[in-house]
Amino acid sequence: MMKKLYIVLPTCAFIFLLFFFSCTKQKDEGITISFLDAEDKSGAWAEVIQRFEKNNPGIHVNLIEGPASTNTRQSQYAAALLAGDSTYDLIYLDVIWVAKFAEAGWLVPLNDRFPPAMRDKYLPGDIQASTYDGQIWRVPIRTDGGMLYYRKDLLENADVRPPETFDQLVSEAERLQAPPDLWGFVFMGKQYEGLTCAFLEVLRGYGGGVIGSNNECLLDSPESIAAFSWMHDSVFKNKIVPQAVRTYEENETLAAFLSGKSVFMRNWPYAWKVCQEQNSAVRGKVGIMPMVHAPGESSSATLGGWGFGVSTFSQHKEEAWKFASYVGGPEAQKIFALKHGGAPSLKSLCKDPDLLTLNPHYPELYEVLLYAEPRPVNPHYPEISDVIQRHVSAVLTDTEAPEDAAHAATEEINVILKRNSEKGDSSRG
Amino acid sequence: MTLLARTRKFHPDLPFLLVIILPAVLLCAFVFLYPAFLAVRASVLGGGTASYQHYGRLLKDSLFLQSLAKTFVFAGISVSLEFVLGFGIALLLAAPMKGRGFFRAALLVPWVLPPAVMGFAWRWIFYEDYGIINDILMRTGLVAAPIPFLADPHWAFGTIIFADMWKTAPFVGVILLAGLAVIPADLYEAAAVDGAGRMRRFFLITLPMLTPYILTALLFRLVQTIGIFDLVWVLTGGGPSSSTEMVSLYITKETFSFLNIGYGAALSMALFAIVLVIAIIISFFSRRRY
Repeated sequence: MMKKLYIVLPTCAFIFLLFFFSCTKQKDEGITISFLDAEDKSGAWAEVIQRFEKNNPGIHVNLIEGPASTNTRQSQYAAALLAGDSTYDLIYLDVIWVAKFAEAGWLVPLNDRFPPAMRDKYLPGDIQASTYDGQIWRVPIRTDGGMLYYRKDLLENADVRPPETFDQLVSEAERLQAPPDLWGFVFMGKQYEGLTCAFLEVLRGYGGGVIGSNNECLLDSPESIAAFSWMHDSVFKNKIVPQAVRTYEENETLAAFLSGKSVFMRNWPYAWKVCQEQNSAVRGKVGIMPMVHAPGESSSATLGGWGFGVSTFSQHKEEAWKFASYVGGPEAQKIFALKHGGAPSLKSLCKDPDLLTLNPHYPELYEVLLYAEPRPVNPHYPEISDVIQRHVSAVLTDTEAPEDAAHAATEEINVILKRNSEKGDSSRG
Repeated sequence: MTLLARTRKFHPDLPFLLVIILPAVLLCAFVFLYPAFLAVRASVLGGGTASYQHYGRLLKDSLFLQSLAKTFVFAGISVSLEFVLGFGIALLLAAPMKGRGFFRAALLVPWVLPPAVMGFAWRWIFYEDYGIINDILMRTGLVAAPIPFLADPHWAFGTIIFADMWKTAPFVGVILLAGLAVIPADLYEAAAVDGAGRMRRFFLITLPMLTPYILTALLFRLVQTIGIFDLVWVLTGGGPSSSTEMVSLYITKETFSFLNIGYGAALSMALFAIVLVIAIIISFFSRRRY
């Protein structure tokens, strides 16, 4: 017994001391700012963080690498924030989370720190989408807009010009495709947020919209039925889209296009850089253009994008803001644009000579982004989007007719809008 | 003193027993009871005052009821198949044969793998474009076009049943195997002497003797299957066309994606009540003596 004690006691003391020293050591090293994003494949975050830490001794930035799925990362943030947890000092916000997170009281309003003079440097859509209830909640870092990628080589060989209308896209895809090795068109067809983005571009390209000025749903319209029908027909009638598209998120969509399995692709700006990489089968063979539209209508791009919000529960809000504003600035955004691809949300960088030589597509991209349309800015947007996802997915699996989908989606969205406007009235009154 | 004396009536060592379970009770209270209490509170608090509006809403929520029905169909098919397969595994491994120890150990491999990891593995196997199964089928010319294992609503539902069954049939097998091991051999001998054939011995001895084990396995499996989340989340995310949106995915969406905390809590309570009823029914049966 005594013999054992000789071993146990010093071991315990040692472990205790180890904890003690590791804790105090951390204190000496300063403050750590944490946030969550997908895996840093390009190494852009690493470089940005390294530069920031060099210029700001005493502040450490910890990128917690999470899943690639945006939905899952949102749940991770929400779970921590619901609990009032200070794990994340900064929230790397998808543009559509802003209204909801602000409404929940999880974000620090940034009007004082982020004055209008500073906001003017950013793309208008990004600022518009970061503003809710008279306050700005987010520093834009990366901007996104959906666009159409096409295989320049295939189109040139067949002597066809890039399509402008939905019908042209279908006829060119039908002509050039050779399934199952080469499909006409791929997009994000899985039942998730990306499907709403893709659908909105078709809907708006037909001249439709989701929510009208009187807070009513507009989906039960001929334009909307045309959009649902086009999605349906591209899978079942014209067969330019593989059925597997129903399992595609961004990565799967890009993988299909990268391996040369599709003529056209709907994706975000980040895909451009990946297409130009060494091991890409479509390197130098890719063109981009705005999404197609119906005759007489104009192209639409769904605005996406990412930026930093400061968590209400952070214990180091000043330091967090310091990092957020650095990442929102030109130096860090340039690193992002160079390493990660995608598009910067600072207007000046869209004309940066270094970036232009690497990204000859920036002028076209800039035009798309200047007029990119946000998704409905509403704290209940996730519910509205869920309705759209369910019905578009039902149409893509042929379980619902386009007319029925348009009709049912309208009813369901009206219920959401009505329920929440009543709630808002009663809380005010 | 009188209190102590009274407690001793139930069990001579009751005070001591209470003391030794105290740490476990406290731990449970901390990680389970307290959050559960918060969930109950959230589910009845609507706009600051207690109300049952969330519960009223869920009865009319057709999407919730659909996902619940889907989950029951899934649980029914999946657990039934697991039992058939698990029973077969148990009977095979109970018989003396060469390498039985190896097979018994190998049986546990699917069960110990984390469902999320298996979800990714299945996705890799069943994927339409780069999936292994479709690749094999196409190369051997058995199918002309890839089978949409995850892209078609019906196929996706079946794929999830298959993936769940693969993982959990061994669990049922192991429990039933333990049950088979304790059935005394002389019962069979006596029955054989009395002229009972293989089938009669199975129904008169094996099945009744195994009943407590079957009910235990059934309880575990039903409760777990009704709450299935990780495998589906990774494999299909609920799609396509909500065909695999089980009730726990629906609740997660309401709670964490829509941030309808109160309503999400009410949905969880409803699911909890359903699972509790199932557990009580099964426990009731297992108290009966055969």
